[in-house]
Amino acid sequence: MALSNGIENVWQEGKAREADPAPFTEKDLQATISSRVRKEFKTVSQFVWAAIVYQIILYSFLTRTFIRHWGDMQIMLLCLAGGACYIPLTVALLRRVKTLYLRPSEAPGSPVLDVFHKVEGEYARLADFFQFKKRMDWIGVPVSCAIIVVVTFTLFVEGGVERNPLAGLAFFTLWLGMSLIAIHAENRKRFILPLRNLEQVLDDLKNS
Amino acid sequence: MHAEPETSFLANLNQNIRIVHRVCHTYFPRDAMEREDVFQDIMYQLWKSYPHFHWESKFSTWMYKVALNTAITHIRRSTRAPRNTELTESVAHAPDINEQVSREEELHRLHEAIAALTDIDKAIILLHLEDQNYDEIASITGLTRTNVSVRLVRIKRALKDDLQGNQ
Repeated sequence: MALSNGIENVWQEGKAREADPAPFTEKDLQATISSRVRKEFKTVSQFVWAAIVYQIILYSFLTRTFIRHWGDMQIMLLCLAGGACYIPLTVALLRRVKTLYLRPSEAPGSPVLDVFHKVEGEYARLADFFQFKKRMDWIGVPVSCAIIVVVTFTLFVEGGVERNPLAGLAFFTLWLGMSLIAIHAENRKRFILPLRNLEQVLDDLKNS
Repeated sequence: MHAEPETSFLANLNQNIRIVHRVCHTYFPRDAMEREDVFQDIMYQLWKSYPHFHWESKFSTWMYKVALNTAITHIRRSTRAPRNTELTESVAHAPDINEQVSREEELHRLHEAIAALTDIDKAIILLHLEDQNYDEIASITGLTRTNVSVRLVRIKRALKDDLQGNQ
């Protein structure tokens, strides 16, 4: 199609034919705010739940075992050691989640960023959180797998891990393998693909 | 937000509300539901950012920044598959029987060509067509003035080629 008047004129003629949009009223504003608050809260909640639910299960398991085997020093110490290993990771995770969701433009007095700096900021925060998560996975996943294996064998297998080292190692490897597969899929969906998309936008902005 | 700032927010917003509609139509031309969703998202972000807007730029420039940031973020977060329906089927296949239809078709094809651009190029051409000058486009997108001018030439050439290819 040859544009008879150039794209600017076609656009302007189109604008001139447009009907006036309906004004945005106070009622519309209230409805929008309520709907968005619910939506944002839901999105954040889903992500946070996915990240900490495993830790809740782990803490529940340790607490229940600790109370149930009150007086058995070996099991009580194992549970306490497991909890002590994991508490710093939970605290660090919650701090990072807070940083991830506190957008710079939401801080009081912050100016509205241009597109490049907004995308750059999002990329930096997401990449930073991903780095932290990878470090946490390297420590947290083997630790939690080890805790579960040792406590389970101590409770349910005669002689515990000490007298069944090969079975313990096999159970640990299986548990660790399943965790790594799940983490790989989660990382790809939640971090690698979004980071790749942001990189494309940033590259597009830089390579002009 | 208190009642008085809310009233001034709505007054300023309604004077420039076409900006939000244009951004929504440019980034989501095919999916009315998604467009409505992003429209609400932009309105919410504007309302949230308004207390921190101190008139250091024009209200419209600030609105473009918020609207474009929100639309681009929305595309990235969207999990819904894009719908490959035609923009406006009735116009796209209408015979060129009179001048009015021809103009509508020209506009329709221009929208289609813009929809095929990258997210940033869409922003640049939209701002240009909406009479924003190079400095304002640079301020909104974060690109330099030179980059804006170079990219604009490239985008217009690409649009022209695309439109001529569809002849």
